[in-house]
Amino acid sequence: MFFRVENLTKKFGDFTAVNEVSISFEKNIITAIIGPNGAGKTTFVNLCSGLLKPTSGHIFFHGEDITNRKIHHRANMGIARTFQIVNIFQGLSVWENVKIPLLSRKNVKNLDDALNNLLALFNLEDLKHTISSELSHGDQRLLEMSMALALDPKLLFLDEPLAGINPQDRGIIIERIIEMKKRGITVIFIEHDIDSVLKMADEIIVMHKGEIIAKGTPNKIKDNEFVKEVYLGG
Amino acid sequence: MAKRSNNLVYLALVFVLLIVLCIPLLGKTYTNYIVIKISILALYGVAFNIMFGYCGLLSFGHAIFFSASAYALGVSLTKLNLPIFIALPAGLLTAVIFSIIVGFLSLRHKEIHFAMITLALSMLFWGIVMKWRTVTGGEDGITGITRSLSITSYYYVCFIIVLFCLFLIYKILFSDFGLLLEGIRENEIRVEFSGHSVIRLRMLAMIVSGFFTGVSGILWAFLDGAVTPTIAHWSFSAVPVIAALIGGPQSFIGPIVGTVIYVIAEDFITRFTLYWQIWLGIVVVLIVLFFRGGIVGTISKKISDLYYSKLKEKLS
Repeated sequence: MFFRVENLTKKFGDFTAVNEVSISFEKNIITAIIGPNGAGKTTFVNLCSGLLKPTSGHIFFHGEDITNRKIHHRANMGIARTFQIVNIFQGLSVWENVKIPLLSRKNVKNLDDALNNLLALFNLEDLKHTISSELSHGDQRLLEMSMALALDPKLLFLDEPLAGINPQDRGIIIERIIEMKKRGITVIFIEHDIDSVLKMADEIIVMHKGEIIAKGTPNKIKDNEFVKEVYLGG
Repeated sequence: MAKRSNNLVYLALVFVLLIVLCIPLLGKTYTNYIVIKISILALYGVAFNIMFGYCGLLSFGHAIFFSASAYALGVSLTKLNLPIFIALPAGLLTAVIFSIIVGFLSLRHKEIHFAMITLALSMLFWGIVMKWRTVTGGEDGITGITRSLSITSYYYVCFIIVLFCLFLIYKILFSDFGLLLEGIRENEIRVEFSGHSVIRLRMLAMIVSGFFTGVSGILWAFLDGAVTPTIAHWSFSAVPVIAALIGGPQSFIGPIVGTVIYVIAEDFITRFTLYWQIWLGIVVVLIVLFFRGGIVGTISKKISDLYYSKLKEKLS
């Protein structure tokens, strides 16, 4: 299995944010994680990407146990992510922001070309010398995605990639996420906007109170009575 | 930001360079001494600022590297009677070893915790220097470090070494490695998610910083002809902190400008009162309050604001 977690649990004191989650993800599939606020979606992604250490359980990538691997090790193995609140180098230029992840790749022959291609992919070429704190929120999101792609990831976690994005940029992001599948990237994303989820996802996971309550194709999830009750509002 | 440089800056640098080269022609030994002191402390400030301005880590332990190299040189030359070509690398190696030790103990922490650990280590080191009399000479320090050069010749030698070291640090800081350090200062979690080990990068930065601090320690030992515990005291770690704050930590030349002001202010004020720290303290407080990015940072921001407002006017 490409990526799987076994009995993954995260407790914060008495509160269990993720409870005994076991699930596997196929290669080259776009999976959406949905669920009400406080369901444990972001905690789950934080555990998988290495930002948080699990209380118990294991994480496997390409069959290797990566539970105790550091963040940069995971990044070098091909696991990248974006954050719910845009996480970039605010004081550096767009060019420098994308260059930093590119520098960790040993196989890049022409750094400048790779950088220009990434910026072109997200329509950021004209802004490459702009200090990233001066970008609009939408452009910052696009920049963060280009930084994640600069790692040439095999597995990409996107935490609410469409949050606070205008309709035009939303279209670009959705298009790019769908394209990632063609590039052989497995995408796992958290999103609240169900219409966008249905456009992008091959598979949907529904989380509730730290547990996975349903998993399946978008049509199957839409028809799931329990999901309707706890999340989709009946 | 750190990478904003323009022709005006280069012109100013050439001008300063010419003045510095001409100073020995005045034939005033004390002036030569002060300029050598400024150049050594400027190197100390820039080396320290690798950690402070670029990694975002405030170290109060740089006096360890400064004095460790000076003491190692002093011991090698005066107690072990080693030739200078062995004493010099021994001094530098000692600074590097101490930077690895301090880095190992402190670099997993940041902000106030990092500052306090380095401060504590600095105090510990000073305690050892004071008590280990057989090696360090205790309160008396080590005397008899002779240089076979006159003060004027040493002035030029020192100046060339400092200039060469500054050039190397500049090259390092404006390389990809320097960009990664700036990345750490901006957002260390994102650096980790970009596939780089923050701890490893910080350790490398600490070693580079320790090495060049060691060079300044050696130059200092030759200037004074002695090594005293004053340079091992934690308060000597505050010298580059003050210099960086005055000049501006987020620019390469900030600590150099800060050092010039610091040393000249110290020299000037002590002519009138022994309590020069009071007046220097007031200057530092005023600069921190009214020049947030230091003198260089504030001036370069004003220039860039002016440039952009004029550009906007043109475009509109």
